[in-house]
Amino acid sequence: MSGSRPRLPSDRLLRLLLLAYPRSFRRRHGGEMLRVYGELARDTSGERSKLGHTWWLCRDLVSSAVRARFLARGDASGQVAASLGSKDKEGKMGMLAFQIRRAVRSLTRNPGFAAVTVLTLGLGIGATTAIFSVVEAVMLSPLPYDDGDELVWVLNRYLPDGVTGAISHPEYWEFRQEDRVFAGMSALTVTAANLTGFDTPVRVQGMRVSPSYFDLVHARLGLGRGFTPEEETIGTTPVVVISQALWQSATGGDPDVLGRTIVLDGVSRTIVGVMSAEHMPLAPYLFPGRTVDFWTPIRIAPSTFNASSLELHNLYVVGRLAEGLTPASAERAMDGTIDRLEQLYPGIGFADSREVAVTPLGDRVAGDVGTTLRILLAAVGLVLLVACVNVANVLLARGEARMSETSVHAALGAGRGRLALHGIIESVIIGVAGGVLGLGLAVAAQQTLIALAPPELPRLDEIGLNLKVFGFCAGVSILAGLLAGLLPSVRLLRGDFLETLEAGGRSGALGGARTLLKRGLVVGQVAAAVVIAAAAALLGRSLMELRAVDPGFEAAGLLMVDINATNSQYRSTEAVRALYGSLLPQVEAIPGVTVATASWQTPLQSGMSDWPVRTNIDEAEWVSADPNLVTNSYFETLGMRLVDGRLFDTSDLARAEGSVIVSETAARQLFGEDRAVGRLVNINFDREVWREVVGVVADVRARGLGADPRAQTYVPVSDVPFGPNPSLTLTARAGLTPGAFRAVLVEIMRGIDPDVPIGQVRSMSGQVALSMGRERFLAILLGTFAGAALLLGAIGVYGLLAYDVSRQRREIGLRIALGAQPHGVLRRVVSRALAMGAIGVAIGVAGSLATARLLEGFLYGVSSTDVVTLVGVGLVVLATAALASFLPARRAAGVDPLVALREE
Amino acid sequence: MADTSVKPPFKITPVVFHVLLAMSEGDAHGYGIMQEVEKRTEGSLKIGPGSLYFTLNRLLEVAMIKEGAGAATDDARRKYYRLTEYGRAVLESELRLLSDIVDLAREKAVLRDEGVA
Repeated sequence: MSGSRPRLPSDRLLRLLLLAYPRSFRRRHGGEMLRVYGELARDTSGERSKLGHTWWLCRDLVSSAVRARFLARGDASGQVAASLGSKDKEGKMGMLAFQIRRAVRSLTRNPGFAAVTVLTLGLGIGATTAIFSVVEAVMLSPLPYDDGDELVWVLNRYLPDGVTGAISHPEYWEFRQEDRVFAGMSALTVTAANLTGFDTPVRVQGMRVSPSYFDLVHARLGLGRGFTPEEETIGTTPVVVISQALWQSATGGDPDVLGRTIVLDGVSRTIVGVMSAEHMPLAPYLFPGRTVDFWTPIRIAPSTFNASSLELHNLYVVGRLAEGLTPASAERAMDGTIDRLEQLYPGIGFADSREVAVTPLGDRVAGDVGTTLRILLAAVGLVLLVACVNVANVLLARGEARMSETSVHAALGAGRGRLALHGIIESVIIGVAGGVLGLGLAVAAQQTLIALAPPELPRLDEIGLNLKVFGFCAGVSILAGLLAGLLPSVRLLRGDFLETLEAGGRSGALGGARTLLKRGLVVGQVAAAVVIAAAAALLGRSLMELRAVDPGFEAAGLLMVDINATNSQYRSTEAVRALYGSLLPQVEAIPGVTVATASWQTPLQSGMSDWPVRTNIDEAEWVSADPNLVTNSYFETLGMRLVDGRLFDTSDLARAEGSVIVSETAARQLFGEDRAVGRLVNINFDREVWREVVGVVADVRARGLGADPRAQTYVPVSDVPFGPNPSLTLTARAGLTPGAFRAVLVEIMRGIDPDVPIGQVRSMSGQVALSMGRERFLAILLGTFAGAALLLGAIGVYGLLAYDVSRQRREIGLRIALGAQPHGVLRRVVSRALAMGAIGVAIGVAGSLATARLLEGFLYGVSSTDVVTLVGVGLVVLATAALASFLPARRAAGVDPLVALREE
Repeated sequence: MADTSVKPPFKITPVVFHVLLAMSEGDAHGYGIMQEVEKRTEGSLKIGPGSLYFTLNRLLEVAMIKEGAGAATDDARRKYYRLTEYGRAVLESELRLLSDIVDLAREKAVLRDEGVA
């Protein structure tokens, strides 16, 4: 099992952090310090709040490193002074150190300025780093297998639409003969079983694998062995490899466990191996959230293959590419295999309908969450850019305020290059300080992100602080600092010092280009805020639309629990029928439960099957449909509406020909405008049974609230011998909490069959919320980013106008003295904000329209170019700009002409 | 008392004081010192690895401590530190100073002995 280990900075990261200390210090104490960090990590894991502890360690490290450097420099200060002005490398380094010290001093002398800029960049960097850490864990980091980048999925790609899927036993058998393409290959499926023989039965999850699996992913066994080829093909005595967790919980970590047996689904299996704790099973990458407690051999026997084996696609195949091959070249090399299958099983049209798909393991792992993460990364990058612009504007303004000081420096012979360098160094230091803050924020935000993450986001437990995330944060911090410092420095390089000096360093001389540049930056901020806010608003509206959708059933008050009667005695339909026959009445007798049902599928669960259905009018025409096997009370329990005909009753049990209820969509697709009730249909799993349609029910949005309803068929569960060991879901309409319901259920089941475990009780409302998880995740994060961008944009507008007003006090005073009304002055300032806002909104809306395509897959019931939303967002942004201008405007209107003019 | 005091080369901060005190009973290694200080002050003073080695480095530089050998049973590879004569003298002088201050406080009845009403 992949338990959560404490996320501590890795050894490598610590080594990197030690670089903060002077070299001599590092040489003398580095090794010892690493040892102490290790011991500290060992002794405090889980004990303290992780965040507080990390923060304490960081503070300690930074403060002691600064002190150590300070002392070391105290010794060397003479040298630095001596080397000032010399052109050798030492001197340049000394100069840089001097510049850095000067910049730090100037920042600490101005704590308000430093705090605002560091905080602004810190927030942006923190958010960006947090999102990056998710992207890194989910998409970028290699899988935790040796040479994991050589591992690939081998799948069927169906033509012409290119959908990929699992493969059949005969296909796998042929594929694995291609030892020039694949150095190794293993089939696998996920499975689950009831572990009995203890006080309470437990549902455990596992994998069926080929003998080659353990070598393929370099899984080291802690004890014993993997599987032999005979165990795959012939099926000798049942064997099992168990996980460390199961070894501990089921056998108490017994070192002599090999040869002992455990009972899974009523079958005694001999334990032949115990997996080492380090191995990360593949299953959770295939199906997020799956755990693996046991491995059993998958049975693949070529002697049993026939043409119908080719139609059962139930194997996932993982392979290791032979040396020098890429997924693309492997695909080409597999063309011959398809031809060979065609010859082995003639007439199935293999070569025309499909080809072999070879995709890197990681691609499937990231799946379509990739788009979600890319959108988030783009949005958060925009927020960071907005933050950079704010800092750049503050630096520009300060640079102007200091222009006279700088001009004096220049006049005294300081090179422009050095002056510009000073500015850049200062902004990089702000960036790095923001980065330190951001790193802390990112670590804090990671937990929130993990809690919010939609269920399909894989590898969540790998999110953490590692060298790559740290490096990213460092890089982004420096880049952000450079970006913020670049414009002010360029301005400095081009500024006319002489003019400033002649003007006596007084105000007023605001060059047109300079103002235009700052305005442009603010307009850009507003535009970026509009783009993010528009995306967030669209997603928010889409979520509201989804919530308003009628799912076709009443979710409130429904509780569901999986009853996995997979023990060996339930191989017969009669035994299953008897189990539910005694279970359901007892469940309905629970106080608070009004009605209960058992069914094969429930709405909004994952892993729906597709069983086509046809009419006897045109037997060649199959209609794709979601099948369900239900007890009579299913429709009443879920609160579904009967449209035509009747629901199932006891008479359906006795009918020889069988009954079926279809959904409205199924009725329309099968019979068009004709009445469906009384007609005959055949479902693919029935082979040759023709069932009479006895009723038509309203559509249910079973595959997601946003997905159009598909054709649905309902068959009485009791008259389908659909295979041994059915796992049915018990659904009850109950006024109980899930916990209370489960407790009663456990008691009831103990009386019926103590070897059938009761799984976790889920509420249908929870299931509905989960089905919107991805949209909610995006909406919440984009909403947060939009809020941040809006706030930063407002600060940008405010800062610029406040600065303008303070620079133009004399001009304003003059105007008022000449008879201008205060409210006219006020209007002038506000309208300046509105003008910038309007240009920003226009650019932002254009940007939203250009990027609308990205969001399309996430929206329901609202177009990605929805005019109402865009106009709404534009108005909100304009209102924010007006609000931001209010304070400066009031200050302008309140200028006392006498005071302002006397300042001359 | 001025004649017996040994002048420290830098300010004896609480951290320096407790690090010295932790070594007063014999050789100690870095992590041991951290734990000892935390235990002795009942967790009110926690020294991080960075501060600890910064302090040890300073003490080594002014020869108040030196690298010593640990007990034979301990891990031989780890570094142990021990007080030098000078270091011990500074610590004793510091302790004497503190004790004098406490005496003074009692005299002035700023601090009352426990048990004395």
